[in-house]
Amino acid sequence: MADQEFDAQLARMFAEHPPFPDQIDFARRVESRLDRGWGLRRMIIGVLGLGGGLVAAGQGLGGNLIGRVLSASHASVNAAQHTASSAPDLLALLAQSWGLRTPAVGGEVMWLVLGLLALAGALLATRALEDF
Amino acid sequence: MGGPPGAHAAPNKPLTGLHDVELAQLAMTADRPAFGELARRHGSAVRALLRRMGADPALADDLAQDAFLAAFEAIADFRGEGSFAGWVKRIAARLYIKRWRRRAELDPAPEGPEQADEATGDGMTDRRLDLDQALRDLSPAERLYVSLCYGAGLSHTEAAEATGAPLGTVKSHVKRALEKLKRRLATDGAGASSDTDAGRLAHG
Repeated sequence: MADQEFDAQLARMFAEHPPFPDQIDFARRVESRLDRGWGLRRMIIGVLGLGGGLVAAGQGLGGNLIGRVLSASHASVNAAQHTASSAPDLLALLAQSWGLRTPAVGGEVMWLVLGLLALAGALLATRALEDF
Repeated sequence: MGGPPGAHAAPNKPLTGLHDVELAQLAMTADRPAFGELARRHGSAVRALLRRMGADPALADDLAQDAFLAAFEAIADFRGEGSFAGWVKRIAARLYIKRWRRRAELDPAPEGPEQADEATGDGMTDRRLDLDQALRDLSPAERLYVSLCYGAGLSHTEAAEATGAPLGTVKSHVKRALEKLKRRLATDGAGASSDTDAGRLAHG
């Protein structure tokens, strides 16, 4: 019992400490070291990013990246046009097999509708994420 | 100072009016002034502990700063279950142990604490003893282990793991330290002298 009391007394004495007169300076020193650390981190990230960007730009120029991107872009435009022109036919075929009548819409309208649906879906998903 | 666990930081309140847990939550968003407020509140406790463990004032200040920087890096680990001060004290204590071990100052073999006992037998009766004075009369290992267990709140097992010493060694150091402290503090009624104790430590 006496041991327990002494243990408690000793723990209390350890917990008591003086307010050091330079406690504000101490906190400032801690803050300034934190600022220095963050500044250094930002600088390192910036330098690495710049270096990475320069290397990427060099590689891109050296490998004729722009020409490749342009040809890939042309190819994707062609593919998209082909899909857009065949999509309504596909839709009509499907509707016919289900015994439905299809309105006469162009490929552009269908892509517009699909785009709006995708946008609405994205908005709903965002809202759901914010709520939960 | 510890705030309610799970409390949310109130951005409109001044930092001085926030609980530790709220400040820690702000610090998690890299809010350095909020963390500076925590350092202002608990810097003294951490420095005092390090001095009591045996660090000189300059080393205690350096290690306390290092402990706060380490705490900032690991602030996401602070869940507010214990006190923030206790959490940083543990970090600081471990940093001090690391330093102590690196310098090979930690001798698990019993040192000559009995010398201190006898040497202080006559002159000390006239002086007002306090915790810090009593700690100074312990051997370095006794002082370290008793401070780790009673100041930083480590269990004997945790202290043994932190220092790499066998558990039995830790227990025997703590036991001897407690016996000596009990004798000293009982003689002097040191419980009442903790205020002056605190003042001396602050300026020491």
